[in-house]
Amino acid sequence: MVLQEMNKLTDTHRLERERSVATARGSGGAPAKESLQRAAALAHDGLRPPPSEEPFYSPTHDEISLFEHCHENGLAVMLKGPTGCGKTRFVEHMAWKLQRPMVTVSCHDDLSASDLIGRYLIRHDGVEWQDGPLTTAVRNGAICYLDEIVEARQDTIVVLHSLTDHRRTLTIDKTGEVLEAPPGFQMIISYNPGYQRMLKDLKPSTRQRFVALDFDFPAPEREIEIVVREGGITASDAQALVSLANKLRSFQDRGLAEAPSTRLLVATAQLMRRGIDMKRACQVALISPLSDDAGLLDAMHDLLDLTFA
Amino acid sequence: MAEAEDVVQDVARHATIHIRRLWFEHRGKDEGPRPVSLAEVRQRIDLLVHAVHGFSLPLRVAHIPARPTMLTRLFRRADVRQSGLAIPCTDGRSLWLPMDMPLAPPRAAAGAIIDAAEVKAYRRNAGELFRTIGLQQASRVLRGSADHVAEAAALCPRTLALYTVLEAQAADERLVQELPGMARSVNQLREKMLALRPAINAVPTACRHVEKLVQRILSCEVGTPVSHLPWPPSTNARENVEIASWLLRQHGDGGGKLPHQHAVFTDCWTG
Repeated sequence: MVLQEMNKLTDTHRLERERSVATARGSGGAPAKESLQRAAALAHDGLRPPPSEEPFYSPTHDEISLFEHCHENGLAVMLKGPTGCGKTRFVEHMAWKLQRPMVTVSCHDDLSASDLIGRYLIRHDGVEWQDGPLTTAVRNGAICYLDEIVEARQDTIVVLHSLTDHRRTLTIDKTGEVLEAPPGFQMIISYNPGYQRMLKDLKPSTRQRFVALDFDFPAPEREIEIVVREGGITASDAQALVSLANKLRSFQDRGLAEAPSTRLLVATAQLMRRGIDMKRACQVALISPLSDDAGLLDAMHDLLDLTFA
Repeated sequence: MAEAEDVVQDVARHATIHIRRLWFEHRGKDEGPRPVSLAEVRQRIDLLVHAVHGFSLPLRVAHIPARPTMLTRLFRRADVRQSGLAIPCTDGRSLWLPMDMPLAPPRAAAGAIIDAAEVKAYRRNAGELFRTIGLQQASRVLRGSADHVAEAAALCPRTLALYTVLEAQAADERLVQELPGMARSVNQLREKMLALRPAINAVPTACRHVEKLVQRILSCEVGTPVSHLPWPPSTNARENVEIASWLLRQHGDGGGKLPHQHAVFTDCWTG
């Protein structure tokens, strides 16, 4: 009985979906206003409409124009860089610039293909198909951002393959649908090649489907500008913070798993703006989160004490 | 499966680490606090030098000099007597630091237990001294001080002594410019070292002007000019050889017998 109900629902659902996909294809990229309204309606599916205000992002090179070209050509993009260097902010900025809705998925090692594509949910009155974030992004022509992709299992990542090559399709085997990604859809993945590479890595067949944009911490002058803008502190304080961070980054060669990021600097600056003493703010927001190694922490605290009179 | 020799190596390594830890725990006199040794702070100093200056230098133990023989004492009476303690130094490629710091440990009255806060303060001060001296020597490496020692030594022992003192002062200034928070530690080191300097009258006549200069610098705070010396100190170590020669010419022989080797009492500050 339940199986019959499920098959009936599946058929109905399939027809509805096929109709919606056909509409999306026919419109060839619906007007932005309609798309936005649809995105707002689907906000509960994890679909975020494009930001109304420009998210601050200071480009380091030609990544914005490269991304735009990738978007026009339907190429998937891979963002590589240390934590807190601005990868997610860059994606938000591009979503605003291209006026595309966005779906963000934080990957983890329990993430299954069903978590991405969708699953049947049992309701009080029957069974209902629930789209996963990837399917939602494909249906709505959104930017799908898979953060920390290497944390996900290899068999999960494989479902992206058909979306990231010339086919640009997503097969939902449970409903029997084959979704063709509309032109606005774009797949973006990010990971940190520093510490993640040692344990996990992407398969070459996955890697070669993406255009890779390398990210790193910005140059000191640019980083000062970012800290002033985001942290709301004076340029001289920001300069002192960035100078300290650059010294702390040298500990990376000496056992520190990850260098202090621009995000940590902004957090420190925000504490300082609220009246916390600079040294104290650095202790709690910049140094302590970096490591639990007593020797490293002592050396970093020494450096902090000596850098500021 | 591990090879037999790997197991033996692992056992030997763990045994060595355990014995070393035991040795550190029971080092020093029973009635006093455990002294801080270079081995305990080595990693911290190394990390700090690397972070501040961007390079790493091997840290080695500076050994206590051999005691002067009877003949040395007899024929080199014009030399300044040395402390007999290990002196920090650098050759531009490595840093040599003493195994212990010349700090008097806190002592308790008979039968009493030393206050834990005093022990903590003693260990903190010792660690800070190591840190200051290590960074001073690293600062000299950056200045290239060791590159001109032979040149100064070729002139005469007093030129070498003056050059050493000028370089110590210049290294302090450079260090404090780089790390403003070091000023307090450098001033404390200067105070401690000044208290341990020999009396001017105890120094051979020909070397008294060098000792006066050292004490004049040590009595000033870092960042303040010292009378009769160029200010700010030269950023070029080669220039300090010329300044040392000029200072010596200004002073002349001083009326006494010239030293053979040691024209200054070396300590943790002079190096």
